[in-house]
Amino acid sequence: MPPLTIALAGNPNTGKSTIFNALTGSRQRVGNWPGKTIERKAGMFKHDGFELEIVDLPGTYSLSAYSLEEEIARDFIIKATPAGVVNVLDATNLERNLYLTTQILETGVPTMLVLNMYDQATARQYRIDTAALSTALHGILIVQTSASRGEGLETLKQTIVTFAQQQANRRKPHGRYPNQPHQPSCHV
Amino acid sequence: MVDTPISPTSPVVTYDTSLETEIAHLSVIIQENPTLNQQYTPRWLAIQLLESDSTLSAELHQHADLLQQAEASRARIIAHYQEEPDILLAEQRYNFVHQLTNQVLTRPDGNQLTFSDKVDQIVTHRYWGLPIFLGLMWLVFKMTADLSAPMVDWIDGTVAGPITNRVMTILAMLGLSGSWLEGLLVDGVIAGVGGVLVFVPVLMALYLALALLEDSGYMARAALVMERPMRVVGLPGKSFLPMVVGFGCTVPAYYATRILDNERDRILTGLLAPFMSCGARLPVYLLFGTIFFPENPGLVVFGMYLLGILIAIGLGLGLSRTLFAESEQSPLIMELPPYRLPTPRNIWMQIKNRTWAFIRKAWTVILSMSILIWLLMAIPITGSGSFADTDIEDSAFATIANIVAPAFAPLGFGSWEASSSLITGFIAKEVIISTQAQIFAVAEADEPFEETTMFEDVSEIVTSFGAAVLDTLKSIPLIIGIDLLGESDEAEPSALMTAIRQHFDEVSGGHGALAALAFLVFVLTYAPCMVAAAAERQELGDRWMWFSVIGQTGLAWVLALFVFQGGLLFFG
Amino acid sequence: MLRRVLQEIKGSTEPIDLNQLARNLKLERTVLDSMIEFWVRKGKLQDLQLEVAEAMACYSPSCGGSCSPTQCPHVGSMPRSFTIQLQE
Ligand SMILES: Nc1nc2c(ncn2[C@@H]2O[C@H](COP(=O)(O)OP(=O)(O)OP(=O)(O)O)[C@@H](O)[C@H]2O)c(=O)[nH]1
Ligand SMILES: [Mg+2]
Repeated sequence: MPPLTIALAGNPNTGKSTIFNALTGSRQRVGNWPGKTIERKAGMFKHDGFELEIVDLPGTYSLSAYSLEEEIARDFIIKATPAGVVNVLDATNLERNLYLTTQILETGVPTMLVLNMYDQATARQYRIDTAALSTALHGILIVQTSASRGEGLETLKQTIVTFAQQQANRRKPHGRYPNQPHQPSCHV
Repeated sequence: MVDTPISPTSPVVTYDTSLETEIAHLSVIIQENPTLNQQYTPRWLAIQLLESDSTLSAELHQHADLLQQAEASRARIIAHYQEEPDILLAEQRYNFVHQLTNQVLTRPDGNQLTFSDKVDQIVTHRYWGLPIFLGLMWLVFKMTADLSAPMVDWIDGTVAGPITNRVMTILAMLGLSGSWLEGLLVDGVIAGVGGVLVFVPVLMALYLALALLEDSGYMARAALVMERPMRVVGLPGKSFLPMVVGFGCTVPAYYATRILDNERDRILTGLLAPFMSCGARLPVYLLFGTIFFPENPGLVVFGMYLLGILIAIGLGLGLSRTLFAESEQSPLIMELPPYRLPTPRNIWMQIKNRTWAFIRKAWTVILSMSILIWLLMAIPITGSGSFADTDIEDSAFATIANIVAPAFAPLGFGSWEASSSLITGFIAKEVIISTQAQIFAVAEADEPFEETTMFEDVSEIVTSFGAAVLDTLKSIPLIIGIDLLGESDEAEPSALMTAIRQHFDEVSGGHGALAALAFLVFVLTYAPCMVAAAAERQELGDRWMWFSVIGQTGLAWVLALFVFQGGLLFFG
Repeated sequence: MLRRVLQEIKGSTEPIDLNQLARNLKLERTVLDSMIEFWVRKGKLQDLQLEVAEAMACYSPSCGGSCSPTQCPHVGSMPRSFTIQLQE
């Protein structure tokens, strides 16, 4: 069975590629997105005997398929159906970054969050209640990192493995994600 | 790290009931279709359909029923909210995120004014903004004039001395001394093109000052300040953009008027844009400012720029209330970038690009004009001279210019020398200078040409360059009015400057400075250059092009008359 | 909030500075930027830098087409500014 694919998504300049490099090391393949001039980076991530393919998506502010970057990110999430999305956020810019998160969550793809740039958020005396954030987003997995300083990366690696294992167990061979609501809830 | 199982049921963001009803409605249809249910997450697809995502609609063209249902849902939402669904959905997503952030994020009071905000409140202030802007602009022109003066002298000296010597020496070696070729090269090309290239340091100094203001972030604030006068004139705020472009060059300014929504605004903006002094007019202002007001040429330049703006405002007020009806105003939103220290690299790039454009123009337009003018000056019409050996007074050039010269007499410069440069200046405003340089180079009593060696020439260039650099450095403290070295030695006026001064004094009956001011006002106001007129014709049509060319020239004549005759009344 | 932003802009009689607008609406500046971007995409706001770049396309090829407006010497140094799109 081929390894599961995990996509790194997030706003521009949040540290996706820094995290991508930290996860994949030298096991990278660089090419272009089909028919596009935008670089496509994919690589293998190995941890605890677990192997995953990681794809570094271009940074976008939304998933509306308005720009080339958005189209690539959205098509990948919707059509390539990765096992999960690791949404990288700039912790100093939480509100703007969370907008994309709501859109990613709406696609129904299993998602976990990385609050990157945590060093800067701390320097500015920002305090983020990750437990509350996780609860509000229905128990989403959250990791705090300062990727350029190498902080939080071990936890991140472990969490990604946990996250991927959850998906592997739930995933049907050829289907969408079975954990989706069968009946859209409607609070009347 | 938090690890609780993902809740499989309710969505993270729930929208208004009426929206959720439609989402549920569409989701059911999607779920009942096995292909769609397999391919998409129903709720997501339902939301995309409500947002009328065009890529998706294309993908789903064979599911006409679903698309129809989606259209109906959208129609119901629009009827209910009077707003498009995608706006509603985005708004509610924003609200969700806003509340969530408030709930999970604590941070020090972020609504305090930063230093940058405080500065902005002063420099974009309703009343102080404009005086501060004008003060800075005055500083820019003072710096331009002071900083560039030594280098201008150096280039002038180099062109008139070593370079001319070299060319003449080579020609003498080839036995071409005194031939028409010598006239063409020395009195045509070197005098004309050289006369304009002398101003390269001026432009570089101006571009340096402007780049400092731009790169530090101030220019964006200035734009905000400049936007208000636009409203006074009855133009939408965004018409300040073509005006700003106009300070560089009038030609692109005409193209930039395309951003305006209606013809009225486009035409009015196009008519006013030429009054923003373009880069080509700056050397003329500075040359005459230096000749006639050597203590304060920067103030003259500043005054001309300011006068242009005032004329535009006055004219705009007049035109917008007579020829044109008032149009809808739309407010302008502007990004004020954070203040920062300008980077040498950025500044150098700006100086380089803009200066290079000027030099290119000198080598093309001005070079060809110089040759043409030399030809006209070489062809005798009256008198007994022959080609390239005629008294300039008898040349075709002077003969033609003499026809129009009387029209300028009431303005204080009714000579063929002055009026001819205004005619050739229609090709490009820099040509005003190159023409006068050619006229006075020819008219100059031929100085005995002393042969110099290559070594003498080169060492002359190098030593005078060193002196110029030193003078430039010395002039830096002078900009802020501090005379550190206690010596403000006036530079020796060049031969051209002396000749122009004498000429204007003569022709105006001893009121040279006044005539020079009238001349500058005329240069500021009269017809846009040929290329600009062509651009105006293309953008606004024949009628408005002629309106500008004739109207501006008429206005220039009246204003110059006002300056000269009014000045005579007061000071005469 | 998204719609408030547009209303605020429409109702203003003075030129607006984005920092000031963010303070008035108690919005994060980066969030305001993304809302402005939303309205530009919806065609309710005009991005004037793009407009000028487009208008300049036939004057200087480096200004128009697919290149970024920052490559155009006349536009690059201009502050980013927006205005209400009057008619579609
Ligand atoms: N202070 C700090 N800087 C970081 C951190 N992570 C990344 N950076 C820096 O942020 C910048 C952007 O990082 P990238 O990894 O290129 O960001 P990206 O998300 O891939 O950007 P796009 O591909 O443009 O969307 C780089 O200069 C990184 O060094 C962090 O945790 N703290
Ligand atoms: Mg990247």
